[in-house]
Amino acid sequence: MKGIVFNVFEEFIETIAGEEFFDDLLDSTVLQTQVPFVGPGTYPDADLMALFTAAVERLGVEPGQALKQFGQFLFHKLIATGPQYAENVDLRQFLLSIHTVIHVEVRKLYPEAITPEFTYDESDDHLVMHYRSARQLWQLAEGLIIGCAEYFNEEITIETQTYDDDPERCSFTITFNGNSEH
Amino acid sequence: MTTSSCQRCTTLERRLQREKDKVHVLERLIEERSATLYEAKQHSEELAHSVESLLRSLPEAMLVIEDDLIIDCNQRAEELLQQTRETMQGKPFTEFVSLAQIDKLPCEVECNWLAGNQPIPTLSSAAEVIGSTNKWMLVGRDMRERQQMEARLLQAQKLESIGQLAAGVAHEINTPIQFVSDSMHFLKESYEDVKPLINAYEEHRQLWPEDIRHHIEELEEDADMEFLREEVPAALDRSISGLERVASIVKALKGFSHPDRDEQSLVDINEALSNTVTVTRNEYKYHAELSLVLGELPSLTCHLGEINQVFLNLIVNAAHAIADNHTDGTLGRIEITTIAIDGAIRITVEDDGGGVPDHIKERIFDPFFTTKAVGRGTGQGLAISHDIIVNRHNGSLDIEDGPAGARFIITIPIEQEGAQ
Repeated sequence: MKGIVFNVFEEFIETIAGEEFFDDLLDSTVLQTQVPFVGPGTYPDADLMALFTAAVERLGVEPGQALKQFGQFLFHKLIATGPQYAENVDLRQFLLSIHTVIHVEVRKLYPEAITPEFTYDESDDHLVMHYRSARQLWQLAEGLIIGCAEYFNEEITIETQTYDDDPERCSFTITFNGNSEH
Repeated sequence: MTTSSCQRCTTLERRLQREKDKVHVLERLIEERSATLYEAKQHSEELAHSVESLLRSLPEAMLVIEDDLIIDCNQRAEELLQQTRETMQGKPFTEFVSLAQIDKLPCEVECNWLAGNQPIPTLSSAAEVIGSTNKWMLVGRDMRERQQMEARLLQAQKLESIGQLAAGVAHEINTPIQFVSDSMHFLKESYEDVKPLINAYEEHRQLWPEDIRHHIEELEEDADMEFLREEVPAALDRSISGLERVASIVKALKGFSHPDRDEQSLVDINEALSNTVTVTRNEYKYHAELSLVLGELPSLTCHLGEINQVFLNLIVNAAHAIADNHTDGTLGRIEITTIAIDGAIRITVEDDGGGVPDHIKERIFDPFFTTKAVGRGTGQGLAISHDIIVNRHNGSLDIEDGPAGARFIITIPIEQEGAQ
């Protein structure tokens, strides 16, 4: 996992529970990483999951919901590093460009980055995003989509379908309900 | 200081330390990334250099085309089309390649590339540049050398079959000519033997009875004995001389059509020249007198059949030049001289056929170059001769101006080490 995700996670926890909480979390969690997390670095997925699990346990929140909220928070931080990718496109176009543009750009900067795969089914009313990742972080992906809709000020409804026989896979059926400011 | 403010200080100190650590890590990351970038740049430059070297050393000419315009080319293309890369860039490729057949990519087609007005037979392949929709690459292989080899092979095969045929005919003629010649010599000697007898009859004619002498004189008159006594020996001499000439032509034909195995053999160049002059006599005898000035030569290790082919080409060319130049019907002159000089044998074939203009001299040994009318020349004779002398015998074939025509000079080293 890229260091930027760890850093945003730190910011997310501090926003919710304060700086001391995160310091305690660091002190009390056994991590493989001995150095501070920096954006361009790459760290074990297990470290993020260890911090996340310790945080939800201490805060007493539902992990899936927490992961979704983190995704929502993460989107705003990530888009701030490359706002040009969200210019001159609408939400649907942006979502459609995730695999062919955004992830390609990510790999240009970080060739070792492992990004999830997205395939799409489109209709006038819906966009179905088929997620696949060995990390099985579909709640994070859902949160990212919600964060994205917030960024574009659009109301959406997401119907999420997981697959018992294939936990790496998930489908999001997104309905676009128009501008959220109206 | 309160407990909470103290705790806040600790937190801030820890954060500060973490941020300082992050700076160190980031600095190291930047250094690592810079080193990686530097190495990648070096690697890219090396790769670009090797690709460029590869493209430059390709024996094929290559053009990169975008929207029908040439955007790049390699060195071979510059050489083939006699234009620099800079002058070709931005020009439509159709200016250099007549490729009406390209309607889909990839394709392979034989076509002409155009260097000025000169068409160059080329085998071309056209294919899309990977990852580009409107950019494609045209690769052309110059087919002249292959066509020249094919022509040479064809000519060699033709000469071989003509040679075999000629050798067979020469062998067949040789036997009857031999016994006709023997018989003619026998007749001549017999006539010489009979001559004293006839003279004796003549001397003793007055002793014969009148009626018998009268009858014999009548018979002598009917047979025109006086004329026969004068002309029969002369007729026999002419026949023998003619037969000797036939025999020498047959011998020359056998020598000329010597089956040329791939290995070289020891050859008397003067004899080879004489044979070739004999078999080509019909080509020049109506247009020129040919004189041979043969110096004393050592034997030369060479491909006899090929050397004969060179002599034949030069003699026939000289005869054609004289025929074109002497339109008033006067006979021209072909002079062939041989000399051993500076470790080499030099053969000079000089004519008075008007010579070769300078702008043609430059291209006279190029394959397919000819100034002769269609059907009279293929443009292969001098190119093949040049190849035989230069590449097969480590020699040289040059042209210079003679007093009234062209002078071809063949120089072949007597030592033939490394010749093909």
